[in-house]
Amino acid sequence: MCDKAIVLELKEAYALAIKEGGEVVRIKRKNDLAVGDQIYILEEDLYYKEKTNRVISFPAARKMRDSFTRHGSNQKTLSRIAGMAAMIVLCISLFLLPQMTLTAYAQASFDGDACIQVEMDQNYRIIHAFSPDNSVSPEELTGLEGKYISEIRSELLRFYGTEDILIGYAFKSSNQDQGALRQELYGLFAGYNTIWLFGSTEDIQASAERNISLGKYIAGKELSNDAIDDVLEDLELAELLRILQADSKWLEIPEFKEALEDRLESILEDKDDHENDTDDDGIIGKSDTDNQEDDDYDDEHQDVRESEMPQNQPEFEKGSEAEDDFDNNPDVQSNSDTIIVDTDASEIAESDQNGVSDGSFEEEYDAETED
Amino acid sequence: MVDGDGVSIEKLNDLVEQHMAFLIRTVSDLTGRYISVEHDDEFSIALSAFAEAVERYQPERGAFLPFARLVVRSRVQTYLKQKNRHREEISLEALEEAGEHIAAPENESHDDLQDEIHLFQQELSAFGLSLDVLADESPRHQDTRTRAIEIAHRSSQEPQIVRKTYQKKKLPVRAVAKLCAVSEKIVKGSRHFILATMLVFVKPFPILIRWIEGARCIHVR
Repeated sequence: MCDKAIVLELKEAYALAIKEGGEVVRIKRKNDLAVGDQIYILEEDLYYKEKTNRVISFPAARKMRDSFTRHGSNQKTLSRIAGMAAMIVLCISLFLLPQMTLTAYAQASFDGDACIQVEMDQNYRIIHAFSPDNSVSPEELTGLEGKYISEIRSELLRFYGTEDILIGYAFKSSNQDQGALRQELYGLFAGYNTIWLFGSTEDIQASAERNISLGKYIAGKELSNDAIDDVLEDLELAELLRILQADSKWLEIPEFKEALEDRLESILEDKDDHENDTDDDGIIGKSDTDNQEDDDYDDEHQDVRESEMPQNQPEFEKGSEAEDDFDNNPDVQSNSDTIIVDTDASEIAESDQNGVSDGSFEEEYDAETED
Repeated sequence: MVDGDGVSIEKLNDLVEQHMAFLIRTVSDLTGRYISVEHDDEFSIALSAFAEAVERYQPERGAFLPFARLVVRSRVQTYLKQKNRHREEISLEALEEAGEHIAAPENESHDDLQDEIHLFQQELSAFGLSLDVLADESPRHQDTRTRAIEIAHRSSQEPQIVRKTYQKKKLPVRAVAKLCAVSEKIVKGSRHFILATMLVFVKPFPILIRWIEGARCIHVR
């Protein structure tokens, strides 16, 4: 798959480009690259920054799986496998990551009927094979050590039945060739239903600390983040503040912080809307006065008001639909001059043509001010 | 339309489209740089080499792609060697005296684009955004992105929204959601992308607008 992109900015290790369609991506630096260049980019040209514990979204993971599997797997399978891991991650702070010394170049875990994890060197030879949940004894796994990852398919498959297999993989250090490792692993479970999750160096450490497989840990984070989003969405500001009061570390969780900011923003927007009702270019809105007498006065003196219209009266073509709409709606005239003035007649005509009244927003605003 | 050798032009075009990624990858590997959309001599050589490979290919001698790769690499490498050998300074005046008409280099549109990009970055910066943030937060799913662009476009046409946005230096999520008849969650999910795209429409930046609204070039491997 190829895309066209415009180079927007050059950084030391990568460049930022905008693809046709508007997506901004990071791409690898190559020779003679300059801002403004219009280039073709391929999937392998994309650059991933170090902290990419969400590099593979579920749709992308499904794409990879579908190319090697007969049946479609889905989030239910992932939920079943990673259910317990999600609970563990939710209960433990994400920031207490231990410093562990890693000797492997990359790690990969395979969760299904059994749970096996392998550490590999740069040539993808297995340094160490173990079972994080002890579903396979160490003696059964020693036969894997010393072999290349691509050679262990038959030995590995005897531990797995027909269940879906969750494959988690990550590098010890960043900026490694993810594609090459993926390629090595693909052949292991060809013909099986697989779910792929790519993690970071920190995920290797964190999963080891929690004695769960790398794949389960990454899956747990994915699910827990989605779960956090769903839960936080329903919480009121007071509840969020109570949670924060109980443990200030919650503020370090991006989803929580974002939920809190959203609540505050909503409150500020409500406050602004209320202030605009009372002080919008000096015009007092109906929501404040709610004065029937004013309505009557306006209706009665409509002709007079027309002749005294401020100079920023919008200019419509005589006899145009827009003019008729304006003239036939005294409430709009009297309460929202500033809004109408800003609206271009051509926009009104165009939006009416499209079946959406451009005045709908203003009308709603007016309806609010009349309350 | 069929040429004398029996390979129709339409068929050849289809094959080129299908193997676009292959061609781009092959040339890019050789040159060490990205292939330019606007003009790329090496890529032009690769295209004609590919056509040659299509004509000369015989199925009984093996798979097509390795053969095509061989032909394309060979032609491009030959071209690169010739290009390096004959690289020398030639003055435009000397060429023009010799009767060669040299078209003015098309730097104007490239300069315009660079100016737009620079101004766009300044606008982003005024809102506390950067291209790195957009790279992290651009919606990956095409439908989500298309919808976000529609929301941005609609919002950019609404003076109240624009005014509020510039006043508060952030997207008025609630007002935008109401205007576009979508949930606030949808707007929040792509808020920075919507804001950045809205700035493109508001200023406006015509080249970037065309790019954002342009069709996607999809070529199957």
